[in-house]
Amino acid sequence: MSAPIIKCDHVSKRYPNGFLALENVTVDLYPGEIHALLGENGAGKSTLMNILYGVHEPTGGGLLLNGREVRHTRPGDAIANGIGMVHQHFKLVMPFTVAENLALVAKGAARARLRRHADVRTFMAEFGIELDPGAVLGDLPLALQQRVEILKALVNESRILLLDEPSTILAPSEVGALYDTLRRIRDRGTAVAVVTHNVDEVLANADRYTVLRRGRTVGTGHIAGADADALVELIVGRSVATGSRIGPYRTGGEPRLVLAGVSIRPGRGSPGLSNVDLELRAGEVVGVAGVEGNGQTELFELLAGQRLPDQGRITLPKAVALVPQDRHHEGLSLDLPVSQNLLYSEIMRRRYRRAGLLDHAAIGNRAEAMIEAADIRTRSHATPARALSGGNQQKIVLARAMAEDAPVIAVYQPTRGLDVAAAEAVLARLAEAADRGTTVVMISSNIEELIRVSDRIVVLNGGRVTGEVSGAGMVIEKIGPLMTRAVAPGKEGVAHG
Amino acid sequence: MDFDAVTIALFLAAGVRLCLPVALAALGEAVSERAGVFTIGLEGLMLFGAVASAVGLAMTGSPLMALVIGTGGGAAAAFVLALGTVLARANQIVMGIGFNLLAIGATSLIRQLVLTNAPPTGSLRTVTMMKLPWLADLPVVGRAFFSQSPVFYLAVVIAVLLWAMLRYSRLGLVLRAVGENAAATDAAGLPVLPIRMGAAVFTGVMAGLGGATLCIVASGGTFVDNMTAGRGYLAIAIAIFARWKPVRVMLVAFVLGLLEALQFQGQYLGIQIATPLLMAAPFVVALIAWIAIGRAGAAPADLGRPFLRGELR
Repeated sequence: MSAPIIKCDHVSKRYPNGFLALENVTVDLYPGEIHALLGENGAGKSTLMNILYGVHEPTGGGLLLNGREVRHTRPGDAIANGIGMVHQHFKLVMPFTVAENLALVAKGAARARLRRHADVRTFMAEFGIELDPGAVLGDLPLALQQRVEILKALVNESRILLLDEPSTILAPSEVGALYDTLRRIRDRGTAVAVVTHNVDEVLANADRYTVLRRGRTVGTGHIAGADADALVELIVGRSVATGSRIGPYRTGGEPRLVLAGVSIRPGRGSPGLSNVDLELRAGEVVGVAGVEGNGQTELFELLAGQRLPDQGRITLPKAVALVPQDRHHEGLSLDLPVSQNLLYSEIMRRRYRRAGLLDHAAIGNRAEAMIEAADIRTRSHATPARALSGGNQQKIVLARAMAEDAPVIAVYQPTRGLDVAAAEAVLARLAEAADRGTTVVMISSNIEELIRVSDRIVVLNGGRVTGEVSGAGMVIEKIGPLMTRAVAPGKEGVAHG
Repeated sequence: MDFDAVTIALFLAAGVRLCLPVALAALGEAVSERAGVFTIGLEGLMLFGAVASAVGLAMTGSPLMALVIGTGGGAAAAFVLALGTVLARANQIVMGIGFNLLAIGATSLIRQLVLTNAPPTGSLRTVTMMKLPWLADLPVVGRAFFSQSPVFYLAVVIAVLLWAMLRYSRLGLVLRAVGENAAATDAAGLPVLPIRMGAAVFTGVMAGLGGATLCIVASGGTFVDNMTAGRGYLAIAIAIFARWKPVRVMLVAFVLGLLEALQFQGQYLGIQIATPLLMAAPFVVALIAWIAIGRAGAAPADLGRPFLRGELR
């Protein structure tokens, strides 16, 4: 092989909030290859893409273009150096036509080359794409919008094409056509880098791979001779030092919440949900595992009653208590006191009113009791929630959800951003709730804690349930492949211990 | 009632005269909104344009120079406003309203400090009336549309040029893209903020010319405190009602101008409606336009949203 066209040379990136997203990462991209960047969420794949494309600047190391050091401080720099990017959330102007979207990005010679609709057709045909140049983007299906996003990245004779999770929004049947297009692009001598978490897709289509885990390169090599199991292990890591099991395995009682053939259309960089069957029973913890952005948000919104399925049926109980993913926006009113945050789902009840007005003494007493029980560290119940640490804020949200005494409690990334002790406390409370007969649904990208607290785990991948494991069968070796490998419909993996 | 040709021609001509300042400002607003900048400060920009033109007239004695200086005053004020709304990403509504309140006081102060003498009594004929050869002799329309201020002909030319620019030119494509999806335009390597600054200043040019026209062409060169009297807000409504299309802006403004003309000429036309109702008519139409924006599918998607790179959408 010739020299790399671009090299990320010992790149590190620390965000202003102190998070180290990339640490000493080196990746070479060669002309005429499809290079897969594999990893879980938070592994640093998107950060690496954004550094190449000039959205972020590295805090250590640099970029070498044909061996010469270059700096990309904004996307314009990257474009000028022949880099095109296909974003997960398309950067398309939806009311514009295909031709207008292409014209928008075209520079100099390319602009002249795309003047007429016939020229645009010729340009698209070079990549085997047939589209009406006059079609309005917003009217096209997602897979075709993605083709336009790809074409846009190629308009200015790009030598390097970056794609961020291009397959997540596609139906399995559409992925092949995407790679047909990418192979045509590769065969013109372009370096194609694809971010994905799907091992089978990579094995079937890529030439080389690099695996990132927690901001570091953990493996790189040629696809020829690569082994699926080894790749999965590189991505999710070895099953080392999983903490101990919290409580015994429970078997659920009567069904409380049922999804039957539920589908939600894909959109906004998400695969939606397709044909999900799920039965949640009394007194069990059901974990939902998966790489983020594989339908988890849609599932939570369904459970929360925030949206209806496009297809299929969902049977919800009278109430579902919620611990949303984004506690700062959906879980708390940061400037209200702890007491009101704890009670705002029940504050309208008669016992908190006197002569039609809020009885602040009663509210305060109740809040004090909850603060005590949930071990929330705050100066007083009148302190604004903003003043508390993340862990204590999450305890407020959780305590409120518990206090609702709803038959089902749905939690989404409940331990994100918490320190170990706070996370342990959250998991323990969830286990207690299930012991009391509550149905607990826990959506998380942290497999380890799912294994420790769940009675069974269903895996979401590409908006589909790719498998379910339960009891002692809940091990990372079984869950990892379900998260990262294509599973044909009807052949879902089931493991029970 | 019986209409004769002269009455109708005078009525139409009055509609054109009355709509002209508003139409100019509305053309400017349409451009800035297409680029995603909601210029609520249009009223203030018109006022600055008007006072600048009055000062220009006092200094140069030339009505033409007064229009130019008024236009420049609007542009300069728009630049300052855009520093806040575009570069500093201030809330466009709050900033705009504050700017309008400031403009009332500031322009009044300028009047008191600078415009202490009576306005020059020289002829304003050069800017109030220009008969186009041959066309002006046509029956009815000659008197209605071709015996107007040269600023009116300029406005028509600008409207047509803007239409062509937005529809056919690359600048127009980029401008619309900035308003529809600033992040996508940025990802294409195009300079979002400079384009928005340019559009905002162009709005100032048009609002300044509108204010100057109000002062010099329509009011004999005399600046009166708060003389725009809501015309800037009306222009915003027109831009929205006309779906940000320049030629439509001119037509909508003209219809509103006719409504206003009814106040003065209604009695000749034999129409008996209480004057207060007639005075309110343009604003009632504007209200309807504001309601219409609520379901305006065609509104630029990024209208009123400050742009910051890397912001999650």
